Amino acid sequence: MNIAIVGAGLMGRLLALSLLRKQQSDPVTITLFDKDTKQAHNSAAYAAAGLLTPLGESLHCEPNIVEMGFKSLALWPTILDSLQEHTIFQQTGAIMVSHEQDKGDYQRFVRHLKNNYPDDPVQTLDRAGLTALEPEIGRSFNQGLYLPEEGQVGNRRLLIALRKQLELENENENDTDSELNKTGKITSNKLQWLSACTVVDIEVSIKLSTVKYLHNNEEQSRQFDLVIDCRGTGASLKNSRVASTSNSSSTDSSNKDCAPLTDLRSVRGELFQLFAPDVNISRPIRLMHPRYQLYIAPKGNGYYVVGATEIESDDMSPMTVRSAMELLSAAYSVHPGFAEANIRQHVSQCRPAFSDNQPKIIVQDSLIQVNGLYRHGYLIAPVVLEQSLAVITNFLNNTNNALPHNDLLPVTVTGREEQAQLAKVSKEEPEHEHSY
Amino acid sequence: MSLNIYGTQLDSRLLIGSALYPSPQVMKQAILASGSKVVTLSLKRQNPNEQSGQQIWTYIQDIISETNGYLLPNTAGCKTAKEAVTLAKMSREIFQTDWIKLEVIGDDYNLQPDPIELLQATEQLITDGFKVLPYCTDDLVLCQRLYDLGCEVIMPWASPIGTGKGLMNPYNLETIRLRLPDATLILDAGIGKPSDACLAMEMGYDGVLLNSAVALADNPTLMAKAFAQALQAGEQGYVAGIMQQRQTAHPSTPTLDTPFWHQN
Repeated sequence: MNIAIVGAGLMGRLLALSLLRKQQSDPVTITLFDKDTKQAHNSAAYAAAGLLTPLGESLHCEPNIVEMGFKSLALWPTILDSLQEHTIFQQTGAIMVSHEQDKGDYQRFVRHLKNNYPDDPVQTLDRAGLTALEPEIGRSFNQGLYLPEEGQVGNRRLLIALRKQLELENENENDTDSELNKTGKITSNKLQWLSACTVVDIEVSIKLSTVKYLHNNEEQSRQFDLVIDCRGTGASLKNSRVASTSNSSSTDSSNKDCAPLTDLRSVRGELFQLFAPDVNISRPIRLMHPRYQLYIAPKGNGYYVVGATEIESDDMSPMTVRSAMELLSAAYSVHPGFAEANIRQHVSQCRPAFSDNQPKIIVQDSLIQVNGLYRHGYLIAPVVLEQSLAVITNFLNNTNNALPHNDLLPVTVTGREEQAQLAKVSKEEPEHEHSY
Repeated sequence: MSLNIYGTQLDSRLLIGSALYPSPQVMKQAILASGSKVVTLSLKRQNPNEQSGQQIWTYIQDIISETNGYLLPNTAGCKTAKEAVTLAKMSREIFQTDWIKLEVIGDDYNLQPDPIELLQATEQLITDGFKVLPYCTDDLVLCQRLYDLGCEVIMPWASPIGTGKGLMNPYNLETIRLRLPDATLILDAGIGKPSDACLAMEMGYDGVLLNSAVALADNPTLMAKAFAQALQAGEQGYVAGIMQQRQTAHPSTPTLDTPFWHQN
């Protein structure tokens, strides 16, 4: 079974590793295409903070995202424990604070939690309570909220750990004497990772899909039984070309049948990586702001990530002065120790989002597209992974087993063959409420 | 009864902003529910030189096509006349409209418009053929000057942008209405509750422009409907003629058990 994964960001890597480990009677050969290098410095996952703060996000997303966030918090440790390289995972809560001028937004958030998440643990903190949890920010704020179940993951470390794990397990698969194969695995799955390789076209048909790509400046093409598209913003209409041959009446490469991602857009985000050895903050701090959801995420050893702007734009140019001032003044207002911090990096990147800001898994014949994780990549990735793997398993085994997260992440089926099968399952999905 | 924007007659008196919604889809639902025919759009932060906001602009333009409405680009974020004029010209080129909501901010804390820069920019833009809809403070003389420059539509604030504090100075707003009877007056900024919008319409304002009050509601779509109805109630109240207030109670039927010399 030949499978292509297009895009080696967070979802691409997680899916590649899961498929490499997949026990199938028929071995799986995976080709991982990525226009980026293996460092993934151009992926949205690299330009993130790895916050796992479902309640912190809840004001600006629908309840299913919050629930996926909580489920993912429980799933992350198993994923991380299966990797040889250590990745930081912290679940010691997050703190929400607000300046006097933004008190209205803060009160709105408090009311929102009370009305929509009354059973989730939230503690109101006065200055003393705040100081007890985070001694160095108590002096800047009179009150705050403690969300004890929130956490974070070391996002950049994770991308590296996943790369190393993919390389390691692929080597082991090819080495018949390896420990892993002695443990009784019945298959020998293989991975080929084509980095710095841009996919220029995906031709979709019911049985086989063709991936056309540029490798060493030469256009090449390969056929696959299944193509999994995790390109993020690369799959938007502006950045991609996905052609279909499943509709025999048309040979037009811009066939509408295969443009389910016309609705995908880019939302620019900017963030700083600061080195501030004088600042001692141990958990993510979220700061109310009228336009953005600002956060300071401590990454250990004096490093902090301060983000992030949200601008409806596909502009990838460097950070603007205004954004820099907004982010840095926010950091400084939380802790004056940031004044002497070194700016190690400023990052601009675009998040992929559909118009409802919901993630989607779209199945069209032998193409599965996983996209639109927006600002919630790390927050919900484990659930999206489980759901995607269930869809893939159904495809590989020609089965129609129930999907584990249909209530939270329904699957859209646009192809013809699977439509009949999966539609049955999709039909039972309850609509998630549009409540904010 | 329609709203007149430089000769274009619109059947809704609500103008609505396109920022701060939980998602573009919710924005679309709210705009459709509001019945508004004019959607404002800011492009300052989207690197308009490169047209980097094209995706969201197209999305908004599609909503407008669906409602047979109009796009009203704004100059939010500009602090000088020069900056605003440049952005207005860019907007005209990108969106093919000579309408511009002119916003020149003079103070960062309450986002108060700068009257001096606003007048300069208005003069320049009118010379350049724009139909200017200036966002200004509730100062009668400033509104008069804008009108004299040729602004057929004037948009004084109710209170600072995004505060939701409603009509802070009804006396000023009423005075502007009385003194500029022929101008199209749209109350812009600071609207929090549907009753604020209703009050403006009862005063005889021609329309209301708002954004946060809908976008930040728990249910933006329902709030959009509420505003549509509030505007209608206020407008009908104004047209119907609101009764005069009296100092003392006046029973609508005579109180028969009261001796006639005790009745008033």
